[in-house]
Amino acid sequence: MKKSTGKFKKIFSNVVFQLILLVCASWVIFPVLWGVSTSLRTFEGIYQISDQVDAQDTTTGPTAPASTITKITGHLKSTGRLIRSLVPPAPIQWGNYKEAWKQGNFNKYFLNSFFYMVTVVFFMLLFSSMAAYAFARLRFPGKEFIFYLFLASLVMPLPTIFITVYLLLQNFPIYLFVVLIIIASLLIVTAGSFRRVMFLVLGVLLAAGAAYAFVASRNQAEPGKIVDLILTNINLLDTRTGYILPQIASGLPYTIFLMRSFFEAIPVDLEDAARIDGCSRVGIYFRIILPLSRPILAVTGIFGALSVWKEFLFAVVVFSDNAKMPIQAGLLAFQGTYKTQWNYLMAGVIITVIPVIIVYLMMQKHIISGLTAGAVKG
Amino acid sequence: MLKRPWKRREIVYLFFVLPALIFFGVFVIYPFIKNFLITFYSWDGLNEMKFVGLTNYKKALFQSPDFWKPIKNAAFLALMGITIQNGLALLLAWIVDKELKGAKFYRVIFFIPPMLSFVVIAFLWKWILEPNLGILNIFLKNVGLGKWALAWLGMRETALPTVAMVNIWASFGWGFVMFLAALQGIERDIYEAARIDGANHFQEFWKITFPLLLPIITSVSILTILGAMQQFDLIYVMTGGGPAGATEVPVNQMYMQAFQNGMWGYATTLGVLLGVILFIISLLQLQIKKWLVDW
Repeated sequence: MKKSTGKFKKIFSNVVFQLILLVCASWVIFPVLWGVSTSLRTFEGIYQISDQVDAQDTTTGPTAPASTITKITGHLKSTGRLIRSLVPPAPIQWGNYKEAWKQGNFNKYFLNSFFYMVTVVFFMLLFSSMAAYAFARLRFPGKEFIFYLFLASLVMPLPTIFITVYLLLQNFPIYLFVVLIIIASLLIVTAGSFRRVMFLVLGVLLAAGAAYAFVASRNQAEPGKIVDLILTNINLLDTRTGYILPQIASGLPYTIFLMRSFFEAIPVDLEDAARIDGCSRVGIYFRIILPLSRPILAVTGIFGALSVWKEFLFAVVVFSDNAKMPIQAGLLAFQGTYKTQWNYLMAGVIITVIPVIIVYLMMQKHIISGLTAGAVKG
Repeated sequence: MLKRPWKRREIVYLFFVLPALIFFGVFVIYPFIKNFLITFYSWDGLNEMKFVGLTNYKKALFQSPDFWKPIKNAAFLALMGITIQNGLALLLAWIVDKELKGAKFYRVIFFIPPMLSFVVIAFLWKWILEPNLGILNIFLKNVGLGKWALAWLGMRETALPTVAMVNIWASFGWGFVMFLAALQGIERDIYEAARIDGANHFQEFWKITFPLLLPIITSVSILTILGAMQQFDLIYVMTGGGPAGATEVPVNQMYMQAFQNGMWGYATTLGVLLGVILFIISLLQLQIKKWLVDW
């Protein structure tokens, strides 16, 4: 007797659980399905949705006294009609997609977004894996300080400083950037030795002078113009470069942390063996570390790509020219032209959703395991 | 610690961090510092900057609602996030972890919204919530709740809760996945032991699952708060901060002050203040983690 009540309880709780899951899953999936359904209707069709849901049964007149049971069955019937109205009426408008794709210039936005994704992810992975390797394995001056600098960045997220990034892009001192790189490289190559620095500076100055003389001999009119040109800040707003650079930078800290802990888990013996065989540090990084870290590269790459795909704030801030916009900003521009034509608008929305869903379903396991591997440990 | 002079080879290793450091310095550290400096000026973005001292801060903190009102709205989003959103995520993760029929299917479904961009989510929901043609109001009228068929995003009372609901829809999948991973890390034996001792589902949850999950619940809650405080995309597309500023959030407000009102010094001030709040929340996380370890 006891056993059977336990069994009954188990079945009952299972039913309750399944019901909760079902309701929540419907809630999650309904907006997407409704978008698909709307996108397959005609423009007039979206005004007939209410008729489709309202369609009353002929048997129950509106005057029938409403008892609790008829009320409940009535609600169930309405819900049924709601679900049935997900199926768009007969002439299914596949043409909406063609129209939206053409009118919205989605091929342009897709190409743009794809380009941004590839470049940002490539440079982000390259730079952050290099830095992460150094933080995990190498001893070098300023290691602690630089690491804490990256750590501190986690509390200065881009949304709090995007206005100054905008100003920076507007007046980008490209020469300062170059000078900074040259000075840093000089210091590192010469390893801080004063004599070597002097030699190299002299060499660089001589080379620059020679180059200037050469260019000046060709443009005799105004050789000073070149200097002006070099010293002028350039405007990176509304350029692809201006959109890509800050995104590479903003993705770096988090990627570096994930990769550092991954690299630390790789056995040191492996590297020692390679070093005994005469492999340099750079060689070790490219031949041993990078091939071994394919899983973490994949995970951070997928998430980097996803965040570039979803990026919106910078797209709005940087671009005013439609031709260079990524997909999310493009979608907003598309909405501007189809304000009330929800069938076309939904077609556009679904067009941008389809590739994401396909990638997600294909890589679902990797995405979820990668996400949790980074977070649960911390 | 033993200090020895750096070997040349070790200095050359700096090349490994240099690219990351330069990018990071130019596009994060430098703007961060400059952002702070601009807050002391009054500047329209074109003409000369005028030093005004702490006027911007005074205005933001005490004189105008430009800072506190968006923060309050964002705090509401955050509050809904840590209560309803994370509660739902925890409940669903707990159920899915029981490996009922179709658990795998639900796991895939629940993580779909986090894959979508906020722009897409905003459009999908805007269409559902459309006052006349939207399916929600049509359905409400149909089941006899016609008086509840409101202009959800057009009224000051309902706009913020509606946006919060959409935000919950958009983000609960993150928490769900985190909680599920943590739950799967719990030994099954503990549940077995509790079951033998006659614990029911709810005792099992409160006495075993919940305490074991407290650290991850803290992390996810903090991430939820940080995410809500930095929300922009959803608000920008769904309501643009309206009606009458009812859904204004900090980043949205910064954008408006800088790009529409041309008050750059003031906009950066709002940014710095938001940064301070985010910083405090992050510190809070460390503190709570410490308490949990002690406890």
